[in-house]
Amino acid sequence: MAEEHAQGESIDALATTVLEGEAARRDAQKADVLFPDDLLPGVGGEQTTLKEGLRKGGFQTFVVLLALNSLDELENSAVAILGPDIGESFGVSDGAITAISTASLMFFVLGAGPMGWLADRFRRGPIVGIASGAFAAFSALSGAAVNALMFFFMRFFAGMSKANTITVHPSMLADTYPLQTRGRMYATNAGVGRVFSAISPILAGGIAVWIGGDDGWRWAFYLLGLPTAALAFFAFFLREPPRGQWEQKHVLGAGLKQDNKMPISVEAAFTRIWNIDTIRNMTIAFAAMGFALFPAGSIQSFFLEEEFGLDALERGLAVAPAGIGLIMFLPFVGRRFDATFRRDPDRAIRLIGILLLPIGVLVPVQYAMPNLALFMILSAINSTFLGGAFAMVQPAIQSVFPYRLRGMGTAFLTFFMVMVGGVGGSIIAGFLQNELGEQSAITIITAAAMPIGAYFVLRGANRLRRDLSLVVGELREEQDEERRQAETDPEDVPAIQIAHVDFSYGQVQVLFDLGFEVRKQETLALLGTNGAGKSTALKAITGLVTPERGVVRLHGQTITFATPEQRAAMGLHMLPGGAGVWSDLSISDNLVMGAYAYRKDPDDRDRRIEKVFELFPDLAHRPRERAGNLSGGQQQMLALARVMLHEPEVLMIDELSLGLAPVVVQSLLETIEELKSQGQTMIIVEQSLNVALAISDRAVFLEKGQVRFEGPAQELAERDDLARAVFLGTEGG
Amino acid sequence: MGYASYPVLGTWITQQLAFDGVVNGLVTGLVAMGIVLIYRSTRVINFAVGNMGIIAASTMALLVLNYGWPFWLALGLSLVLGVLFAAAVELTVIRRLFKSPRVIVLVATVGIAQLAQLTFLQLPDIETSGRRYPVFVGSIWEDVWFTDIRVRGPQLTILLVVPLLALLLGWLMNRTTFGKSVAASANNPELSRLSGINPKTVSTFVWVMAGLLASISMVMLSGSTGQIAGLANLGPQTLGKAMVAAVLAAMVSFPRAMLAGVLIGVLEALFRFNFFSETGLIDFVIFLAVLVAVYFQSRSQGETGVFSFTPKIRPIPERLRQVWWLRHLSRIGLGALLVLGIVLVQLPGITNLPSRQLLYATVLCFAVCGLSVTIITGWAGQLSLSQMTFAGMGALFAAGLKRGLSMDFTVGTGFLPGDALSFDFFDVQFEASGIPFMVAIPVAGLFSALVAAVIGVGSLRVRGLYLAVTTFVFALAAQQYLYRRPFFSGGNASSVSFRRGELFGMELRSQKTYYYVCLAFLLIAVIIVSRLRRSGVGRSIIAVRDNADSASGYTVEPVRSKLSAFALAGGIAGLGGAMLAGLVQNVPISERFFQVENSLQIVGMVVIGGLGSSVGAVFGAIWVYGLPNLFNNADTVALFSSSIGLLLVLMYFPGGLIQIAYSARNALIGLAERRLGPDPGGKTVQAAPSSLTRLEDPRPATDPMLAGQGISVRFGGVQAVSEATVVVHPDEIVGLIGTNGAGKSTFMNAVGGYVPSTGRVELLGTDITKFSAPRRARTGLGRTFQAAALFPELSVRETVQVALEARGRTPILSTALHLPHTFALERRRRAEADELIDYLGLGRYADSFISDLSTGTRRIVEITGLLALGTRVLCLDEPTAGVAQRETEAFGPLIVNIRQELGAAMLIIEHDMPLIMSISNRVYCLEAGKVIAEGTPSEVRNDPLVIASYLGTDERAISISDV
Repeated sequence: MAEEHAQGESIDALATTVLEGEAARRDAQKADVLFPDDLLPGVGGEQTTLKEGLRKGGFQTFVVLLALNSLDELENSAVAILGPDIGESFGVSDGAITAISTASLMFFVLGAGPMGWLADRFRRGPIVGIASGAFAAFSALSGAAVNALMFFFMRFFAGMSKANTITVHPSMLADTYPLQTRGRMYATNAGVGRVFSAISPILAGGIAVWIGGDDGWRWAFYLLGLPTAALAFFAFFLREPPRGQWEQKHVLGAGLKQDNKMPISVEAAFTRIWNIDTIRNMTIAFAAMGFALFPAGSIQSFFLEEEFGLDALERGLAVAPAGIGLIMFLPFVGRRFDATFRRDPDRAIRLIGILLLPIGVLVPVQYAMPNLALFMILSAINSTFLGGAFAMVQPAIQSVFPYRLRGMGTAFLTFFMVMVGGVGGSIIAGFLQNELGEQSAITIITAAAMPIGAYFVLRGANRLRRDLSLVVGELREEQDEERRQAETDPEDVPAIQIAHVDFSYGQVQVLFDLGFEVRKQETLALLGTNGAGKSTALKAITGLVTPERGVVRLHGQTITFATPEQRAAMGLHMLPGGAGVWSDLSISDNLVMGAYAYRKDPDDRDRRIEKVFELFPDLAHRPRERAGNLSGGQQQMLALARVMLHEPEVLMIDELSLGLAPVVVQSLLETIEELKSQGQTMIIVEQSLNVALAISDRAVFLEKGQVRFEGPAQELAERDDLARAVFLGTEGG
Repeated sequence: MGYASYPVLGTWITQQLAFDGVVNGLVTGLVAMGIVLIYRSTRVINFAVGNMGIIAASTMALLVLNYGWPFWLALGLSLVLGVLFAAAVELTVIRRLFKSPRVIVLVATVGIAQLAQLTFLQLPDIETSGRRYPVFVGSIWEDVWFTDIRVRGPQLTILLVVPLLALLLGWLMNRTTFGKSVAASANNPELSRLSGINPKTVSTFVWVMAGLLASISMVMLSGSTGQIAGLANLGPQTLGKAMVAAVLAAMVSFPRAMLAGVLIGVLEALFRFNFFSETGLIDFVIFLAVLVAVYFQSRSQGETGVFSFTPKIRPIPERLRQVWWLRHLSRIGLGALLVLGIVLVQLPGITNLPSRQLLYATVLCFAVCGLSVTIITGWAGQLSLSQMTFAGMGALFAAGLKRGLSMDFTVGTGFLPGDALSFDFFDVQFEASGIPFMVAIPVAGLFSALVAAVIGVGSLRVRGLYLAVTTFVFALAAQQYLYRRPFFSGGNASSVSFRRGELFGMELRSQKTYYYVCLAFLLIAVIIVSRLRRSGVGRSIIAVRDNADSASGYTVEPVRSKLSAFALAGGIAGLGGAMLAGLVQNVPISERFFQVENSLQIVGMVVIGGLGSSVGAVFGAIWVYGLPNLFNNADTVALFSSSIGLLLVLMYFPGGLIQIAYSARNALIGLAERRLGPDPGGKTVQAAPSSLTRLEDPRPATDPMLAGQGISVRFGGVQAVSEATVVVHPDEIVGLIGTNGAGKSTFMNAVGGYVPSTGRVELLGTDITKFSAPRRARTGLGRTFQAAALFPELSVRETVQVALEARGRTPILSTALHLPHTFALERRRRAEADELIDYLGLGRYADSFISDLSTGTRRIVEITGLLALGTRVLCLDEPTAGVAQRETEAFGPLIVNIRQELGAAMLIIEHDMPLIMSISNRVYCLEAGKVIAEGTPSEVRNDPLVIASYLGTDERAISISDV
């Protein structure tokens, strides 16, 4: 009869039916959700003075963090100033000491990761307290070092603990003080840090000279550690600001309940942050600019020495005034940033790009100057622009970070900038410097790197509104969820909940604002055409892919940033489609690996394996058989046995019947029905409507990565427009 | 004294030598175990295994000799550093390439090996003055155990430590949960994650272990040799032997790796004793051993190592070809390069120095050699690590031709003590007088093409990663042995003179003139290679790489296409090598240009530039060989650009530098596309294309179209198909059903000639039992595959053009020579392909890559290919697998219509019962390789045997699609 039917249509018309799906898939575009400006966090609203802002969050936090940051800066500069004395003490060259202090930059970056990780999980006051205390201690111990190696190790630990200033401080400041004052807050922080850095030579050098003798420098370290230690004590008692409170207040008008148990994996956090366009562009921008900025200091020193014949002290004095311009400039930048962000957030970011843009031209001009005075004037102009731009980076990125990932986000940014830009820049600049001389080296790298950096900042600015809108969407969803959880009986909280999930494989977006729920003890069928995103949805639930946007919850707890391993431990188990066994392993090893979670308790593990062998006697007969040698049906049985080693909270089965003979599908259905009668919560992805209808309570029907239908399975079968169009082409066959 | 002081085992070897061989072999075995370890856990062959250890070995020497550290403290810190290096490598490189094809990771390990070398060079110089490498036990025991063997302290350490480590490692990997989790992570990473095993953590552990093994091995080996000066070469030397041992262990068995290591150690001692005049003979013998081992092993391994990360160049859509500058986009780039090359040498100051001209010309010659990698690796997907060896052979042959060849080809002249036995296998004498320089070069190119083709024949069965090992060992053997044959070397020890002559009266001795010759030569090579890529030759090679079975189904001979790629690549390498040798006017045998490390480096070079693109090789050469010459410290920079440069490219721009150019090109095309407005799409012509040929069958209509009689297939011990007979009559649709593993696809493969089988296959009355798969396809058998994978890297149009090769193969030589009729042929093919594409409404996707299409669309393309072939019997394997249900329904009638259009018969495998029952005239049901039922759909459906074994009784499960 199909033969007759076929006569009516030509080959190409039939082919078109298939090709239409392709066309539709290609036409699917990323749809941006843009909220109106006044909803975006930090945009609109009343102007707040810095003082008012500080009052709202309490002065203590700001003052303590500011002081700690400044003292750290001061101590850091001290190493450079005292370098020759230290080298003499240990009998090593100046070069060795310079190398150690340069390496401390690396230590700083190494510390950023762990510090950021801690900052996203625990109370931040104590972290700052402990880290600063450690910093003070290692600073003092640097003074007590008996040889260069010990000094190196002390600097290593001091650098690691100093990393709290770049990851924990911004996170804490962002959550303590209102959005409208962020620009000024960070500008002040940067400015005061600069001042301390500038007086460091006088202070540290002063102490060393005052005590006198070969060991004078040691006292500088002993004494400078003291105030830090005192402040570290205060930091312990700083009030822990609720995470994301200002964003929540701005967008929702109220704060949300704090969920501190949320598991966050580094991998998922990284993926999520990397998918925020503004952040990605900024990261690339700073990595690129790192090539020019990191080597700039040493090149400048060499240049001053060779071109103008300045010695170390003179160089220090020559560079010092350059900072003054910046210190005066910073308050203006901060104010301008805040005011602009309130009116037009894109422009505030663009401001950073605009400040960076001229540097690519001005630095080459600076190095072409005929005399020292002009050189220093241009140097001052450049460092003013640069410092101004850099002071605004934190407020800019903190506005788009998911508030739970502030610490790690900053750590990533730092890591990229130093590891790519810093390391790459030092190497390239080194070669260019040897080959072409300082002037050409700095001209080439600055002229190349700075415009690229500025371009990416400007590009990031274009996406800011969208990223802020995503923040709004996320906060609103959380608020809705909080209300719902408050209103409903805890027993009725869905087992699985996914909402507003976007996901792309490379350029091809697969999930679009996807959301659905799985109730406790129900069997949900996830249906849809090929490429509708069913399997990807399951992967998002199990954590095999990290969505670019949206949340996943298990029993009301957010698990969006948990790894698959963590989720498996929470009871989420999946039977992946077509690859549910380790084909190279034997049947028994498959089960041993399936029960990996119980490896610490071999008795329990063996008991579980024994139990599934009883359920699937076929497998028990030949435990040493390689799984890859089993037939498709037997492999599916083994895959099922693997998940049944556990007592899954939720069991997900991808492509239950695909490619299996009817007789195998029949026995699988029997197993599923058995599980169902035991009250197992299940999600089953199925291509066949018949199989799906046979076993599910409810069905979710996906099309092009979106939910087209959600409801009782029987109802879907009756919905002609959906079911017939996709599943049941011809009638009465 | 001679041999008298040692007891002699027969006259073959002394006890002492055997003992030393065993000890050295133990270390080789340990390193081989390190290779096996990495392979088992990540399916990667680790070429950095030797070099990873030299960091620890050199730190050890440095700490003890330079700074006077105590032995154990120095050992501890050295091993920690070695482990840290391995961990850092895993965390920064291997982890990032977690999901990349394994061959890419292999290339990355080559970069890592160079990185270790670079790190080693950065260390302070070790103060060697008269001192030996630090060891724990320095004593020497004479006449141990009633023998005359002398045992040195370091040897004793090896004898004790290696077996202990080996046992420990074996226990850890085979007996513990950790060992199993390593196997699980390698086998199925996603499933492992779902079970709570983090494959990345496992990978870090494994690399740390491998780093420790390598470090211990190298420290012990250095202690045993006592030498410090040779540290840098220790890694590469050990690598070769350990790699062989690992291959002999099939890459998976620890005990066999150890055993093979010891065996190699003893063999080496044996050869050194018996053939002391031919130091490299052992390497040649090892090469032969590897060939044999690989021949037997790679059959069992289904590894396909395809470089699917070759940058894809987007074809310019048909409607944009009216814009002239888009049409000539690729030529514009090439022209720019040419102008740049001329400008470089015309610039006074930079270039009037002959030394600079020499440098630039070197870059050009390496670019030519790089083109050979483009073909063999980029197109054919075969990772060859001996391209510079082919170049070296070409150079040596050219030098020989110029000098006047005298061939006295004797193999293995052995001097046994007392001259008991002579080993002259061949003794061919041949004399020829010298020929001019510029004639010698092309002849040498032909010669190296021949050598490469021979190697190609040898490696036809070898796939993926194993080919890398085989060619690597070949390169070693050539460097140690073949280069030094008098036939090649003319009796010279370190370099063979190759003086330049003249070309058309032009004196080539001037460096500048020769530079221009090189430039012209490169340009011609690039043009020819690009043209071949755009012709049927390149398409066929890529089709075979992407999917040899589908290519066979489209009548392309995989063997022939692979061999032509080998020969083409070898020939180009030989030409480049000869030009390079001409540049320095001699052929270095024992250092630079044609050594193993150069072959490794040139692969890295082309990957950096962009595999698969002819211009990519040029970019790569400029980067790797040109860039360092801007700096004083050229060696370090060269190592730097090819190690870190390679790793960065693999991680961030897997398509290489050319990818950046392609992005710019795509942006231009996108711009032009936007200006032209949206594509109206759809069909332009409604009538059936004239190029749709229909073969007439003169035989009576009652004779069967296809008959597979008594077909049996065995895989090892499994009888997949036994004595199955299936007959398809004209105009008939025959269904084949059965459970998974019943042998349906295997039967279809046997009929198509894809697996060896017994029985008799008849097609259109012809006995095709002995025909190859492509020949069966030419006879009229069409085949689609379950996965419809086709050729991911080809566009839809190119795919159809591959099928059109059935109507006449594209000639290689005349295409390369740009003969006019080849252009006409290309144009005709293109027009025919377009007609067919248009006929099926695929016009909108004509320039899309297959990899970007959904399964359903790919199946349509596959069918278009069958139309192009003019198939008479269609064999379809699950044509609806992976296709959405609505599309499945369109597929039924579509298949029926295609069958009518072709006037073909059809054999079809399906699980979709409603579909197969509705379209089939007859149905066969297979169970355990046997036909258990045959008849009309309703007969089979009600057959009790079929119900019991396949259909079951559950109506829900049977009527999956419920048509």
